[in-house]
Amino acid sequence: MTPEALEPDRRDFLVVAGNAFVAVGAASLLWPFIQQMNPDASTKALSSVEIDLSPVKEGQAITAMWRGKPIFIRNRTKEEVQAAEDVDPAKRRTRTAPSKAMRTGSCSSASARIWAAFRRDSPWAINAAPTAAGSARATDRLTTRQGAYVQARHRAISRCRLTRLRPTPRSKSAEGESDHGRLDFQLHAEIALGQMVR
Amino acid sequence: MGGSTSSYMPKSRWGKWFDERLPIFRLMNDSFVVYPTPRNLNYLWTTGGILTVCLVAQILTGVVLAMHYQPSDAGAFNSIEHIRRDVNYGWLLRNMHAVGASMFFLAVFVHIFRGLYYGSYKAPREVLWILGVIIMLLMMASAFMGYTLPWGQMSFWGVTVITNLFSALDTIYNGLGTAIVEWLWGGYSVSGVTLNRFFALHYLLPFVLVGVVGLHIWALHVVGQNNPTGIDIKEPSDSVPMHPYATAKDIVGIFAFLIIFAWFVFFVPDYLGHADNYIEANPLVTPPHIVPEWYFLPFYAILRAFTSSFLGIPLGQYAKLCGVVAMFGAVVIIAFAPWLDTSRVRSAKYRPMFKWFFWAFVFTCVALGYLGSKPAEGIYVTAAQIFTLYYFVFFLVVMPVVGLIETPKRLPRSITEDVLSKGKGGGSGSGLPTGATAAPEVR
Repeated sequence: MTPEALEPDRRDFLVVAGNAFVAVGAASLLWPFIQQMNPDASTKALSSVEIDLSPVKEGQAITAMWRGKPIFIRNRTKEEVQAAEDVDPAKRRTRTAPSKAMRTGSCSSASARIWAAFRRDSPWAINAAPTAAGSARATDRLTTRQGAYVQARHRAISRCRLTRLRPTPRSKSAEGESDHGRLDFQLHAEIALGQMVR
Repeated sequence: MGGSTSSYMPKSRWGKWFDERLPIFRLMNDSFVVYPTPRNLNYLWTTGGILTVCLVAQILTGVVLAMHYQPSDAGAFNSIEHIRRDVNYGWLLRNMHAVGASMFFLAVFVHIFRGLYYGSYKAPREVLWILGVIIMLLMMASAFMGYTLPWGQMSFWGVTVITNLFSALDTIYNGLGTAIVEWLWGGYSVSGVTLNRFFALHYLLPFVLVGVVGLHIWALHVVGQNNPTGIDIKEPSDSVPMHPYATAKDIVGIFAFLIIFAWFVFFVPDYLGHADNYIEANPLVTPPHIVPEWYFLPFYAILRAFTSSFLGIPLGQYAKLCGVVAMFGAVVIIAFAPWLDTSRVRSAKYRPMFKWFFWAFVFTCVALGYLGSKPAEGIYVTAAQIFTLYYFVFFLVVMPVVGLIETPKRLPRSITEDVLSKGKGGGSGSGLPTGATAAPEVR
């Protein structure tokens, strides 16, 4: 082999450049084949739900579907709220912190109340059922005073983030009708997978 | 194949251990790395690699599309639209699959014409050739059933027309054709039941194809590749190792092919399809012109050339049967080429007479394709009948007769001589000095 053959020549450059080109092409071709299995646009469109809470009377619970799983929403009675209120915060296993919007008071009353569902002093209780078996238990809990307290500190709930994203015509017309007016909200709950399984 | 003459040397201890137990790397090495390929292969020989790419691409995109497709009369059409609009990159995958079918046929037609021109069907490659015809039949069956799946108007009516062809058998034995058609349909008309079974078969056949392609490549590697001269490899200087010479050339061919492929996928994905197929299947409305996909048009033209008469010969009630037999016969007759051709010279390069008949045959196929897209009336029918006649004359008359009466040109003594003579004579030669490529693998 001649010494100049050891030096990188034009062919070496072409081989490296060509292989790099193929590698980039193959990777970008692979991506659609992987990505196609992710939730598609029609599934994503249904990943946030709007639930009308106005017909839910105090003490009543409803079940709504969200991302293929039931969510239990309960308008707690004053006693239930009080029962939760009376628990010593030090004994609670988890605590929820008010959002920035809550602290600054910049959010609307509706979203405040929805958010407050995660607080023990809110009349609204929302519970997500981890599994089919768990959903029965969750429903059961909501029917008792004690259950209201139990679900109030439910970890799965504590990770839910509810945001009122946009006023809808429906909610506009309902505003001011009563303190319990229509609550159209989008539930942007990011329940960690571990929480779901639990 | 390689057998005892294999030069494969495992590089590692593990490689040696594995090779003694399953010599698959030896097989790959002997078949696709050191395998001797004629040194004079032109770009038409890259169609084999291109077709392999097509088959793999169709299977990969097809498997992925099946994850989103619903094979039911209620869901099929909408699920295709769902794939195109909602599924992540569904538009790309669907276009790749639909355009891919056309590209597959484009490549296979070039591949077959190449075989006919260079006499690749002649001894000892008869089995290789017949396997190729079987592959084309399987491709046609797969493509036909695949075209049903979007469940548009052309899907529905195309299937109705083609499956109804079997009813022509009623003229031979009353009720036979009808029984076959109802068996195919799973009912008394094309319905969701038909769609469902076609989907199952459309998923199955490509894997059968893979198997037959495996046999095709095996048969190829037993007898060796043909080449533009049609002369066998006689001395070591006639061949080069497959890798990197043939593989590099294949890659160039594949990239050129993919550029055309990508142009269709990204810019005119529906150009090769039919607008009527974006109307959902409706048994109550028949499209004004029912036409198959372009790759079936030559055969469709042959089918429709048999009206109540064929070039003045009255056919009566057997017109449909004749058309059906001719259409299937047009494919099957290709398999008999090895025995119909009487010339001992393979390559048309050295066959001055046959060459012209070959190009007339190519023109005939293109013309039939054009006529297949036209309504079956007036001059179109007459023209289709003339070209249909020549299609069969080419195989049944030209191949046997021209081989006997033609005086072939002098053949080069070897592939090497042919390659080197091009450099000397000037004109069309590459201008390389003699021996410049005698051992091109040595730097």
